[in-house]
Amino acid sequence: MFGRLTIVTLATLIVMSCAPFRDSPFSDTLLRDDRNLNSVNMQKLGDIEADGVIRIAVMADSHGNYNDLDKAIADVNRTAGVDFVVHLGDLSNSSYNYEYDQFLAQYAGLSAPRFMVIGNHDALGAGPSLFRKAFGPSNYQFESAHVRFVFWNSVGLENPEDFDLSWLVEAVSSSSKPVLVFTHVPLDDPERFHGATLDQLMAVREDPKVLAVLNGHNHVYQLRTSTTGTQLLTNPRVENGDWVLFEIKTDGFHIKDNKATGATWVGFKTSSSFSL
Amino acid sequence: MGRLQNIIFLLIVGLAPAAHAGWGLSLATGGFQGAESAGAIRDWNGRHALEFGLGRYSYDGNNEAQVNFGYRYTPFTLHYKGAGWSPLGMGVTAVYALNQSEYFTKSPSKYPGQGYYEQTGIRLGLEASTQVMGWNDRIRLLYKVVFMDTGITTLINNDGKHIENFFSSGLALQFFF
Repeated sequence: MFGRLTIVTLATLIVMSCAPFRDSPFSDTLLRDDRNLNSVNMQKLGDIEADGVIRIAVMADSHGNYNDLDKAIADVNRTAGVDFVVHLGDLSNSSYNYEYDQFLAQYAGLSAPRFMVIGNHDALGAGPSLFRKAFGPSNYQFESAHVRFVFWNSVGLENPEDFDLSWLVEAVSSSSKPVLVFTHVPLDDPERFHGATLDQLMAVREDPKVLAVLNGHNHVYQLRTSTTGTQLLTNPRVENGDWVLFEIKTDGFHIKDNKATGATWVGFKTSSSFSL
Repeated sequence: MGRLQNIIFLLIVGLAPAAHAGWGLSLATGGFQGAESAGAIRDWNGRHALEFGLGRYSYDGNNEAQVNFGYRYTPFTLHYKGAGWSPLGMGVTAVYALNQSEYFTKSPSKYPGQGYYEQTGIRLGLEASTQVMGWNDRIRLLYKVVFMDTGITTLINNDGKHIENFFSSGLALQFFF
């Protein structure tokens, strides 16, 4: 009995000593050294239009469902030709530093270049600082030969410092190319956007250059078309590894929820002369 | 021989003098209790201890404070020539963010709907510890590992992968008056 207790005690001590020192769940200290991932991944993109199709793997709202996230990541990695991956936000539940570290450990498992949008659950407390450290600014953009991809921080209630509608307006208006907008909250979300803000967001959404807006937040798959032909995709959460393959082809968007049996084809808005 | 070992062990545990009891001061780092933390500790008969203190953490370059509270049970202490070792203690800990505008105990009214968010300002943890002591148990060095409550949920969703993210080591120096 004494021997067993000694062994248990020593084993416990050995296991205990593997735990890192964390200061507080409320701080912006990250144990992982991933920094500015969005910018780093922009450098890895290459010519995403080379084969005539832009393939984007889109996932969202993983929160603390890490097994589901692993399934989605594994499935995305098995899918041929993915040009880049976008996570539309809510990687965490409460913006704790260890939630960010956990997500980053799994996010690193994606093979393709990957981009992160901040979600409302990622922007509580130290969340904005954690996001900035790991991913960089929460408003950013990049272009391929024919498309501008805009990533916008829509969680102004949680992160008013980085909520910048004028940035979004400028990112769209200054583009000489068609635009895809990636954000967490739908631009017509009735809980968050009202009055002049809503009017401006609708103007952005209906801009002839904006071909599609992709968002998460609502946890279910929904594809809508606005009155002027903008495709509005709400991405499902990663329950059981759910994600969406969003392809931009010469004849339009081909959108496939990996839990569905077939893809949906929608054409580009008629006011756009866009083609790859 | 096995029976003799058991008797010796029981004698050691049963007759081992309890660690020094009373009030003390604790200075610590890690363990989810702050980059640095300081507090008071009250020990009863060397087996039960309560701690209460303040810890410092930072984000965005700003220093913030949290309140720490904990209970620890130490079943036995082994002594040898004025030094002591409590190989295994166990307890619970709670941390509370004082800046409730950032991490909160009640979802702020600025968010849509009552209870929009679950509380984020208090976290509970389970603790395992080991401590060595000297000078008639008045000075103690304690090493602990704390496991946060949210880690229990995520372990279920995680198959134990990257488990280190939900633990924190901590080190405390305690002085008893």
